[in-house]
Amino acid sequence: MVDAEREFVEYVSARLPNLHRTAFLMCGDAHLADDVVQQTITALYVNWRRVSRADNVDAYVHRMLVHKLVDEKRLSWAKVRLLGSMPEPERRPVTPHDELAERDSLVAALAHLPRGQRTVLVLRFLCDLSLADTAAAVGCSEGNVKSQTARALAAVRQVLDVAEMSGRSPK
Amino acid sequence: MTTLDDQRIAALLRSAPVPEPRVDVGRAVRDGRRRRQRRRVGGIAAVTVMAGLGAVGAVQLNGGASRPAPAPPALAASPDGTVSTAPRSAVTCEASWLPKPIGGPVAVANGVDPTGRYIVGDIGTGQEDGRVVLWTDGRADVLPAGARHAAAVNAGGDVVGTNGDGTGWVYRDGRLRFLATPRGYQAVLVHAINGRGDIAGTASGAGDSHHAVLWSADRPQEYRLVGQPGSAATGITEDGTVVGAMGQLPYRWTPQGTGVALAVPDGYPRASVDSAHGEWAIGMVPGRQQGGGTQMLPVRWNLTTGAASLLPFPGATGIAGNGDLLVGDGAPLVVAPDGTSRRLPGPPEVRATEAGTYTANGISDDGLTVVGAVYEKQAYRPLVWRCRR
Repeated sequence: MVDAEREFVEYVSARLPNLHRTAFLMCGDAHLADDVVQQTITALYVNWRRVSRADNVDAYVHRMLVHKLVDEKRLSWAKVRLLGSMPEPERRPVTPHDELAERDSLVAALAHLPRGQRTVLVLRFLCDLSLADTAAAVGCSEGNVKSQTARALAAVRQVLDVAEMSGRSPK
Repeated sequence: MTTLDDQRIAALLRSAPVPEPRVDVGRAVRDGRRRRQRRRVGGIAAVTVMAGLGAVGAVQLNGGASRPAPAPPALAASPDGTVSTAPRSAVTCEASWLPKPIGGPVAVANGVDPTGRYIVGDIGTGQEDGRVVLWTDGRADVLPAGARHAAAVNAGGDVVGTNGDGTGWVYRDGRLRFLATPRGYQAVLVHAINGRGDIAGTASGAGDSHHAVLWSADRPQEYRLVGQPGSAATGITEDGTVVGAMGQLPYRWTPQGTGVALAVPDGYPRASVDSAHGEWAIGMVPGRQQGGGTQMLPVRWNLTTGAASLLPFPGATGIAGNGDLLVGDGAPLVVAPDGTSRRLPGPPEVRATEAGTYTANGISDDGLTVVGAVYEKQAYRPLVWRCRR
């Protein structure tokens, strides 16, 4: 039991930065991302013995994260949306860099994507999930994941290319 | 997902600015315990699973914060010198297939431990669903699906690697554990593990910041940063010497953490180190511009003398502890420090001889075991070459 608890803390501590990044990029709201990750790891603790015996803890966590996000969105249906767009992320002072402009454009582009597209894009590219694993996490068919990914990519590429053309200095 | 564009989007997602998480692992444990209690009181069928829960109250938690390991790993005795000085002419080699415990058209052996006993590889469709396979004395085991992209295996059979999302892992005695990502960084890239369980890799964060890191297979939640910010580690020898880069310079650190630049071959602006075994390291320098890219030329360093030498081959894929160099040029070639070489024969049933048929990825410390794959009929098959003197 003590071992199981230690394993839980170890797993969560190692994965936390990525879980939080995943949640934040999926929803674009820092507080919601914190809430959802907190709920996910609490649920993970409750089910740790069963889940950690299964082959893939990550798959469970990704599925849980997506479900909790959907739940939260559903609950907030009735609430007034105060933030129409992405809250401004806290930025570190860094020297100007082409890539920085690109990163910001990417986050902005994500904010304009429908939730489904946004979720599959983050799972496929940030979490490096296969088509099948993404479909399992989101709870839809692989074909659906494929088409959502394609549409999301097209939208994101367009934004990045525009940013590139207007922001890049010729090398 | 292999195009550059896709990689660029993945890299942007990994480095996009996100706020610091405000998540409390200790609270998750406390809330989770309460919820389990409620379940038990509620008499739900989970009673058998939850048996013995009362014991958890005694566990100390530190909120999940990882602390850098303060003490450098103790110096172990140097590995016993098994370098053979026998004449090399009498070497005979034979290729044999490695068994595939699971299906998949892309099955490749990627690394071998210094003794040649353990071999690690990947099997999958090539579409990010690859599973890590560990062959022990030729018997195959599939690692848990949470482990992806193995980087190395040590003489104890411990395997390390990095998942696609930038989380490092170590697999030891049948158990998968994850490596702490150093505070202030978002991802790690794990490259090597030595026989003592010292694990070397590089942490990366926003704005291209990066730092060389050491972990221990015993305590994967602790880490020690090596050198200054801007450092990177790509290899570690049995005595704990770390190799990598500091800025654009090839670099090495003693087991105590003292860093010094390695020589850059005359006439080249910079060099990078890929891996090190025994007193040898290999890496690359940028050569001529060719088409749209730069042709990279292989370099070998002797870590004892500090000498760097350009190698007259198109590329070097591995270095053995005895200095034998693995060249993945057509049928794989093993070149000894004195310049003598031997070409490894393919399995008799493999007919194809065009470039790309053979891949050789790893070599044991005595230079006698080489692992890789054969590409034939749109599929990769893993194989091992075993040689005898």
